[in-house]
Amino acid sequence: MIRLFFVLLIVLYLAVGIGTMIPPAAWFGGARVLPLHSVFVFAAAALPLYPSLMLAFLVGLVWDLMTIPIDSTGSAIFLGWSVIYFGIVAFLLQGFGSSIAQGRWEAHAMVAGIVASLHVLLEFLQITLVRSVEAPPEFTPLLYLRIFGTGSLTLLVSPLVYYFLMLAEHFCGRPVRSQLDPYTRPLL
Amino acid sequence: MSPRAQLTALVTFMAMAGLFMMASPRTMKRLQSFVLEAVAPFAATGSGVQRQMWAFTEGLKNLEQLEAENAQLHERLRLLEAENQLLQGFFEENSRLRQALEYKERSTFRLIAARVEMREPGLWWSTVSINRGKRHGIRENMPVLTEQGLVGRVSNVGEISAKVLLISDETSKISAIVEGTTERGVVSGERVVDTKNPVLRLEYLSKQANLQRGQKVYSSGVGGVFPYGLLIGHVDSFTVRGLDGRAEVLPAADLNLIENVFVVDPDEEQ
Repeated sequence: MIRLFFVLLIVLYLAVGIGTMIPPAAWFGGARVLPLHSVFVFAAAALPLYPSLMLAFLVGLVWDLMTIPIDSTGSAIFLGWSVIYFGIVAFLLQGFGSSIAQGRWEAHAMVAGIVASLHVLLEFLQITLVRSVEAPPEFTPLLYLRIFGTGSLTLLVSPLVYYFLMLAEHFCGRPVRSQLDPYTRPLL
Repeated sequence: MSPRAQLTALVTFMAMAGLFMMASPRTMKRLQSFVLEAVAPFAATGSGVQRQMWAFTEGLKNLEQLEAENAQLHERLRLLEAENQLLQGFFEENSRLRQALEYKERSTFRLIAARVEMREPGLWWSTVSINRGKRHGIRENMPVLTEQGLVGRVSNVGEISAKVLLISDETSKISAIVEGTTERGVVSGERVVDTKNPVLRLEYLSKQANLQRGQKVYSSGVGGVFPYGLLIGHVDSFTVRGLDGRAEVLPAADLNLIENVFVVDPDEEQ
């Protein structure tokens, strides 16, 4: 499990980098693919609570520091809120590992899509709360497309992420699959 | 894991998150610079890949289109050369007149060349990272531009990189004037815009402004961040609201494809 933790840590770092390389989809309302969220969902489900929370802390911290503008008066929204968001996701996904081990890639993709969409929606609502006086929110179709499009695009790339992470899990001695009882363990 | 251990883990986690949330802006900025520099290995290739993908979606051009574009560019070059010669004459005349009137010559600022290394991976802010930082003389609030026009201002500076808040961001506010009029207003971006064709808002104009499509919008120099006369964009449309007029402005610089930028050092003359 320790080896898997470190492998996931490296993969999360790579996901941060890859995320910066993928431009927003102009044809899809400016929605983005969030590979970091997809990898994190896998990690949160595959690892026990303590390491999941450690990853949640790191991922939330890095995400906020990379995205939220900070000037001399402070940050645009509460810096660190993503740490709590990813922490809650990690907590809720405990026990989800067995479905990952059973090869339920579609479950991973669905959850990754929901986690990504919910994250950007909460981010938007927070900005709205902070700036509501000077810039009232405009709930346009483009906005909904961007929020739910981000979840959809993340959902679409998640099977690929799942495939590579299952390879990594295999490389680490199948620690997630070993948690299953022998009768429900997948053949491959 | 027992419920007690789970509770302990959660409480510890929340305490750590709380500590982080209470950090001072200075600490946050330092941490941000550290993270940006940690992902720097991806950044250089990242922005290149992004630009290529943008360019690809813009569409491939065939030979005929390229020939036509080349002819157009040649014509434009000749026109600009002629204009430049004319302006050179005006410049010399202007300098002589200024000298005669004992005016201080208009300062020309030092420009620091930089390259865009990374675009912000989030959805609601328009920022980019550049490969110049404190070490190269970059400071907060320095204007950033390209040869096409204004791009934004430096919002956070690290040792070897800096974050630039683009003019298309909702929090960017620039005092502006409109070519050929006495109109003044404030240019800002929007939170949710068409990423392919970002549009800026020029607000607080008079209702009688009646701006025409294509009129140029420049920085007014008010506010102390952006010097006077930097091209922001061109008016696209003008509408009258309850108390004031509002125009939509197309940015002069292509904010999706910016690669090389110049940071303006207002304290140091060339």
